[in-house]
Amino acid sequence: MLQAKDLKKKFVKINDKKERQEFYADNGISFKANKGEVVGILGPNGAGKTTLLRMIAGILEPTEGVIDFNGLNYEKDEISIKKKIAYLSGNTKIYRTLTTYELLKMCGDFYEVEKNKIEQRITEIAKLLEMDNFLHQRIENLSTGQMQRVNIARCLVHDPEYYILDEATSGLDIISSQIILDFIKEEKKKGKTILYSTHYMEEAENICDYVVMINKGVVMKEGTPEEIKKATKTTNLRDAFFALIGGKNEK
Amino acid sequence: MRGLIKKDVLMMKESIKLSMVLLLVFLIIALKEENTLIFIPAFLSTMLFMTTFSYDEYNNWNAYAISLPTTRKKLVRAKYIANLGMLAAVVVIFSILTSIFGLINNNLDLEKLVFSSFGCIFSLAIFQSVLYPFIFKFGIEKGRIGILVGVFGFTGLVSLLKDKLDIRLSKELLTMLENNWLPLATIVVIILVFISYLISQKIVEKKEF
Repeated sequence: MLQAKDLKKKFVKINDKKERQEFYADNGISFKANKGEVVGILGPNGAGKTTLLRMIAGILEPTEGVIDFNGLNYEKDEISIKKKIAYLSGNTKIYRTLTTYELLKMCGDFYEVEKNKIEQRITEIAKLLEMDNFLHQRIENLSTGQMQRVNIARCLVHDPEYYILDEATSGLDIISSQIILDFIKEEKKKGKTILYSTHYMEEAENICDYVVMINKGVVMKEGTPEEIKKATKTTNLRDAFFALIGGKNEK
Repeated sequence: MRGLIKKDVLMMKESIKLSMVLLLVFLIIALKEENTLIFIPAFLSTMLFMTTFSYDEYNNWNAYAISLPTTRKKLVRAKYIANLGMLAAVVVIFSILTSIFGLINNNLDLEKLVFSSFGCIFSLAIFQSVLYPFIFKFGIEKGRIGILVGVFGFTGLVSLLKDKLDIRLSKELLTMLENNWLPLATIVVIILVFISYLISQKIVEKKEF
């Protein structure tokens, strides 16, 4: 189980008057994600989703709060946690001069996957994400969708327990999105815990068991998609979101 | 950490191919030349290694790297080891080639070769030591300005110190330095590289990606 308790992240920015201004990108976010569960972190751009996931992935240190991976925490068990997680961000690009195969092998080295296992793992992943036909092509020659599949593939080489996927389908065509969503469903069946941030509400409704809706760094509502719709008296998560923020004109 | 070093070598794959052409040109010159030609390929290898920082920045590598099961210390250490390793490899290869050509042409000056080889490694290791903290702090683009500051600053500093040393140092001390330049320079360079590594490490430890 993955648990975030009262996570806060403070940043400092310089405003127009050249003054230092502190602000919280996330301000006291708590939630749980159980084994075999897809938890959606939903919210508009700038809601604090990426900061939240970066804290959970150990990239950013929380200003306050605790992240617990089944009894492990970053203070004492950083390397052990990082061996169990896979982090995928929409911002991370991949080394385009490499082939997909080279990249996956390189990632295997990062996670110290045994030499005899990595070949087998690459074959499995290529099959799972339908990458056989471009496994030995240079990444720069691939389409956006294929590149994103490679991006996901590199998270799989070490067979992680926890997936932290930030806007994994952002900007992808319908086929590539579907392959990724199918992959998430498959991993869920295997008992993996998946955190999935998106601003596509329909997508979240389709794959998430539990949803945490955030805006301006705070949790607005959490529960199963059904619970949220029921509580907001709406028929879909998009309308539920607008109901929670008080309409489409909310700034 | 082996994976991190391998990554940088893989990144340079394309540039290495291009460098092989340059290497060939240098080999041809080295065949004809009496002087050793180690510095230029060694300097090129150091510059070539800088491209890995550009690749890293372009690909948002650091944020991804922090999510890997490694420490920030190791990320910094891998860069230093990879660059110094590459520099040493290039110098060794060119020293061997220069020796072979020297034997063929019957003009091998072993003392000069040793001086050139170590001089090369030392000067570029110092260059790297000055530059890397800048790159880790400000990124490769601003770090390039650091290259200029580093090169001119270091040259200026050396010439300034040289003038002062001429005035202050006794003949005995100068003779001692001349006779023991290799161990002394080795110690100084190791200390400088280590200090640079510690500074870079501190910078990366504090940095938010």
